[in-house]
Amino acid sequence: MDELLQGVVNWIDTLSVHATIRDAGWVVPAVQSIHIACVALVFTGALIVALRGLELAGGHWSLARWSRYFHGSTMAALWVLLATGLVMIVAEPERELMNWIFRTKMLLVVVTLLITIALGRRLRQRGADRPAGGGVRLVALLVVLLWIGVAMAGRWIAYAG
Amino acid sequence: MIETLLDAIGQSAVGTFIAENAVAFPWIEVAHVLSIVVVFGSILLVDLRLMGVAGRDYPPLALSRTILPITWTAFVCAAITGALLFTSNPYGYFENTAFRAKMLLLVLAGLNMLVFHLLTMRGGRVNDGPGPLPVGARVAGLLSVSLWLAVIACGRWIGFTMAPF
Repeated sequence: MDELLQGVVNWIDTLSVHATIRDAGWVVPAVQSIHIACVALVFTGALIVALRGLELAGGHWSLARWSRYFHGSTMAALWVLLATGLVMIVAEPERELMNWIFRTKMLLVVVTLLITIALGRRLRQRGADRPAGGGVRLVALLVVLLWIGVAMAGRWIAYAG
Repeated sequence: MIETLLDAIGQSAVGTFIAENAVAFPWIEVAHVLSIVVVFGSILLVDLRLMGVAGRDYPPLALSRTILPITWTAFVCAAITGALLFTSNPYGYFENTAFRAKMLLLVLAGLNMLVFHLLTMRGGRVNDGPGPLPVGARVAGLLSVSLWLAVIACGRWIGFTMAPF
């Protein structure tokens, strides 16, 4: 795994786009700002759905309605997160790909995405008046905790590896 | 005067601990970023409703009542964690242009919210039903989104223009 990724790092290092991004000091902070704004879209969607499931917020809409409301923005934000994440990898391949926290984050992202998509599908298929069962509430809360884990790992990439 | 204050903050037990402990700064920063993420994401919900871009069938005052407590809770967490980060290097932050811009933007975002509440909401100009809102509400929403995006960008620029401690 390390050898394979080191090969990718070496290849990225030879790309002119890597040098361009690295030399333009504003690109990485600008892309990171967009990345954080998109994290806000995804995380807030998960948080409000979980709080609605627990009947702590958003009582004017059903859980199904909230889930439909956040579906489009969450999906769009996830694509932007992928794009901005790729720019960050191209900018600093060694710092990202050779870092065990980055790899942990990617694993967490995949697990969280799968659960988020499954939960979203189930919620959108529900009747508007149907209250959330214990299982749905638990999974919605789990998604919030998993996204917190992803965000934590994301910030720790800068400090450990 | 200000130098005495910055010295006192930097030499305080909290400031010294955060500057010297290997994991304190990163963990506080994680909490700070998460708090900012919730502030921006939750206020965006209200701003999009004010602008008439999304959630137009949710009564605006009801949306504010249900979402703004989340925003304020996250904002208090962001302010506390931000203050803790500041203690680790008060001179560095105080002299940093991105930090000063962030503080100015926060004040402007607060003023925008205050003006909107006093003039538009309390003035009874916002009808708490479905549909579009007056121009004042739409402008306040747009200003709020723009200011908070700029706050995030300045926050990121701080990390690229100074060593944390």
